[in-house]
Amino acid sequence: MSKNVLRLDNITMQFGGVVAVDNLSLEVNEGEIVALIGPNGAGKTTAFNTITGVYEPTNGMVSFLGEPIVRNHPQGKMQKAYKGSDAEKYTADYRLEGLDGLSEEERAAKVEEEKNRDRFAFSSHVLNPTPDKITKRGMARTFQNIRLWKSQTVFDNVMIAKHMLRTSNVFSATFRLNAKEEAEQRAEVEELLKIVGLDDVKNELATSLPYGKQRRLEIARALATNPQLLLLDEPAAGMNPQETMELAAFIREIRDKFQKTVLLIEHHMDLVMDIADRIYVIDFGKLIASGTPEEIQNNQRVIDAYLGVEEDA
Amino acid sequence: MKKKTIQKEYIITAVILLAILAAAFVLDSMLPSYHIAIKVIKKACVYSLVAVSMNLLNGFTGLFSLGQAGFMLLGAYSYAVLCIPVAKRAGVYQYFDGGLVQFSIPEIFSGILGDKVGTTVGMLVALLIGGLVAALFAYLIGLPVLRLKSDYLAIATLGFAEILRAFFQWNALGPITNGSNLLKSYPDLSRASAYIILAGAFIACIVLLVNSTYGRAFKAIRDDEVAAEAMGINLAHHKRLAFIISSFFAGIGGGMLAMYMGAVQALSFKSTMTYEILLIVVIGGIGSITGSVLTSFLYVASLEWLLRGLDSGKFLGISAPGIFKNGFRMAVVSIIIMIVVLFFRKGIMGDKELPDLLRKHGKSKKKEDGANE
Repeated sequence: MSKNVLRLDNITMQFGGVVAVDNLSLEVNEGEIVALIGPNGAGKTTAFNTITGVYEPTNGMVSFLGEPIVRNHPQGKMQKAYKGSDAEKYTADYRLEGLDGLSEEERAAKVEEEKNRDRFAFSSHVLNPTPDKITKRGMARTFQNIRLWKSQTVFDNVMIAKHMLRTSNVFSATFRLNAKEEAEQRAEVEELLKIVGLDDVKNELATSLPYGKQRRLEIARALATNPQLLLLDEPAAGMNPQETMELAAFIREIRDKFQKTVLLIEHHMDLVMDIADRIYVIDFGKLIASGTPEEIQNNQRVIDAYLGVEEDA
Repeated sequence: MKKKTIQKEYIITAVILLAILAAAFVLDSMLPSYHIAIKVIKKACVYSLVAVSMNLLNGFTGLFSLGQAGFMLLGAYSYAVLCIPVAKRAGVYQYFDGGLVQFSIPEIFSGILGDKVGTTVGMLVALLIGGLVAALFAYLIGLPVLRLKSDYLAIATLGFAEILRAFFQWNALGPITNGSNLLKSYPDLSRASAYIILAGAFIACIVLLVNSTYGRAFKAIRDDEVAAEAMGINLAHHKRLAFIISSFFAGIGGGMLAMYMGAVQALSFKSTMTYEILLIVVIGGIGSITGSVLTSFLYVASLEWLLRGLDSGKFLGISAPGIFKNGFRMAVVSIIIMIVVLFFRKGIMGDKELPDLLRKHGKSKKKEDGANE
């Protein structure tokens, strides 16, 4: 069985009275391309922001490579907010799938294992790292609205992403005692730009690139941090069909050549059905379906969510 | 081929800088040290260093801070307190029984290294200590203040500088700061070239920093904080770093200002001084070190020297005591500044540096060559 890279347990994100993400649980295994889809405002980007530490979830836990990286449970900090009343709802709900067909003993063992794995989750300790710390663990993301560093060249945009991998301190960097490391990083960036096909524009300003290439650069920048998991937030937004096809090939290449795992949010159904191994569908923050592209295509709840249900039909 | 042309621009830049230094040496040997040209160079050097340190924070890291005068005050007082000769302390601290500090760093070093070398080394050490004191305060102030953004950060740092100024005039601190009285009689550097070398060396450090991996990270924070954080740059750490380094050099600039002025008083480190520096940074170009240095020299030279005539009745051979009265100079300076800002929206240099200008020139020349072929 392939290794579990990312796992969300009961992630809930409330903004005041609005529940943007409601008890979302999902898994991404090594080497997979997983898509997270849903109608506008379903809470996809909020889920991304919770995974990457931009938001502190109201409840739930994110594990990366088997280790909890974001954690907030009513027993912890949130206990005060909940005053214990709803605590049951958010903790008893462990995912214990695939228990059918197991013997009583096996079932008990599985439950015990689940609880053990998350035993930290029930401590009062809250994990709420800043996004940079999560990126350092090996998870890099792109943004829905491109966020490149505008005054920097293509090369420098990728080079800055290498900053977090440096071993030099500010003194040795200033007085060029890190020349060897710097040269190595430069070579790596050159190499990366060649692979993603941006080496001919490396000295141009990032903002002067056409839209499709800016998206590509953002992915290259994320790759420069040597992540194991790549989170792509609507990578095909605003692209024409030609560019979308190229992007699909590119994402596959990332998985196959760089051995990365990919989780992406996308609206282009063609792209998703084409490249995703598994799909999670959320609507109003709730997970409504998950499975292979074929399963999703024929799922009545998904069709309803996208096309709407006829009242009194 | 390409590498060669890049190197050429840096060689030309180095030649220009060396020529300026040589010119300063010539001026030093020709003019007496009280000559206005020498004074202008000295003051402009100090302002250059402080402006570049402010540019590091405001221009390269995107933190709008107005605490520069406060950090200069710390540097200036550290330098003055540590450098007053022991024999003169009774006179300087006449209201405080000769003060608490009963040693002088230049004297300690001259005891070890001989009179001339030791004094200079001692002065440099005192300058660096001034910088470190400013950096320490920056660290402490930065802990709460750097959580703020843009205008709020500016107001907080401005408040810090003002409080510090009042605090240093407090009588209870008199044995160290001499209360609201002058600190004087400390040694200084008389030659303009010494100021150029000192300021140049410190500015060179900032240039190296800006072009290092940390400088790139600072620029990333300025351009897009969210993206920078998502790419693994620790915002709090890097902002604090920029703040401390900027304050360190502002402190050294303050020490050099103390040298230049010959006497230090907390009263003179008003927020007006910060605004002057901010003006230089903005006019020179936010994010351009060349711009800050160039504008420092233009600003100091025109204000202290070239436009003096506007206040004293005679300017460019025109004698009109009726118009050229006290205060007219500032009116003219204000108009010039407005014109510059209107025509150079991004400052004189934008975000370009000296080698960039030379490179641009080289490129267009190359294009012409290509056309001829």
